Amino acid sequence: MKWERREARRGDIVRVPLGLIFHYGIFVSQEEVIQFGLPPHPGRDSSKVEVLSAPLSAFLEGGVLEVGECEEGDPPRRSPEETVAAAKSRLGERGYNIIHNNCEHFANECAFGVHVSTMTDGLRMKYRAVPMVHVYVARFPFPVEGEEIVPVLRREEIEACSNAHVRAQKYYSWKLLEGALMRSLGLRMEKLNFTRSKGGKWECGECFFSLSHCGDIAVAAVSRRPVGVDIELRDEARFTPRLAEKIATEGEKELLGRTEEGARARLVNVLWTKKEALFKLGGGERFCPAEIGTEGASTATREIACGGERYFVTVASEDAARADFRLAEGLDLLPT
Amino acid sequence: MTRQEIKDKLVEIMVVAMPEAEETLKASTEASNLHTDLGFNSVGMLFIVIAIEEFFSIRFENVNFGDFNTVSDVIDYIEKAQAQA
Repeated sequence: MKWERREARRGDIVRVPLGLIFHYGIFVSQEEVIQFGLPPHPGRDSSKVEVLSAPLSAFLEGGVLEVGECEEGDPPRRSPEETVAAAKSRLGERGYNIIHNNCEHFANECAFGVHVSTMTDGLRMKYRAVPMVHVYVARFPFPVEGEEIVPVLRREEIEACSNAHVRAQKYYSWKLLEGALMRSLGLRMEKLNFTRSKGGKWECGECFFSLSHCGDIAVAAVSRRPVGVDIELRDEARFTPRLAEKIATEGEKELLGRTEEGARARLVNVLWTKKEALFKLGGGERFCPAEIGTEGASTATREIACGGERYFVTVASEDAARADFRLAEGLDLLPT
Repeated sequence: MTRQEIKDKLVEIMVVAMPEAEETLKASTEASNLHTDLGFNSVGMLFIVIAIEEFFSIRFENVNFGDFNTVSDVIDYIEKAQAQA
């Protein structure tokens, strides 16, 4: 719908700007604009707001009238008489709610028969579209709220681990995820629908997450969009240029060749975490690091210190540039 | 969630609503006035309320523009709604 400043006709949907918001109504005549309450003011008790008829001057309160004109893509418009009849049939109705049942909902219901508010729906979409990737990192054991693991299948998997340290890694990673889902997305684990992907990865229908662990450090990344995360110990003896021959793409090998010798092991270390994070992001079934290019990929890497060790944590996501790394006590983010 | 966790989340939401005031918002206290101290207008308040609904899975009923004056007022509402859920 587009808005024009012109004289209103019977059955028009009309509005008036009130600062940054609008007040809506259905125009019947100069003496009769049907609206869900008069223009709102601070302190108004919404439980007493009702659909009423008032002169145009009371609707405008000195503001400028705007008249709605249908555009392509709008729902089918009711005729002016049907619109006026719908508005009049609701005189005296209550149940106003600024978010869920406001003056714009009312006007759109009368004119189109649809319960829509571009204002509140737009703000809701804006919130849902906010890019977010939260990466929680914690050293275990850490205090947990309730020891139970859900879903049952995951608990059974964890309990089936014969190695106590591996069991602890999986247990605390899952517990870290539980807290992350609640703190970042307001989701309760017991209400989520967990499934396993073809590659055996745990997934849920309500959001995206990825887990990793290394030594006594657990990592959980949560997002509204696909995400992959990996943590590795900074280990120059393991991440050698020789290893790079096996895991790097041609472009990465060139990059390593241009890198100062003393910094190569660090780069290989970081490349590995990027590849694992990208692999998890992609949800593949077989990890072939040499086939995963990191150049131009959307990733973010941080170096973390804990208990005399250093770790690299990489998150891969469309929103990686805005990733928020949330470290528990005892962990320090090192300058990049 | 604890009261502090609710406040942390609320600050996060407020920063999304008004990123240009991030420093002020992160330094806010429960006593901070949403309008006079933090600078939220009606649309900003509406955004915060909708974002709270989305995050905390609660539905605001009978909410008026003037209901929330301070950060503490909003946290109280969320705590009450969560207790009733």
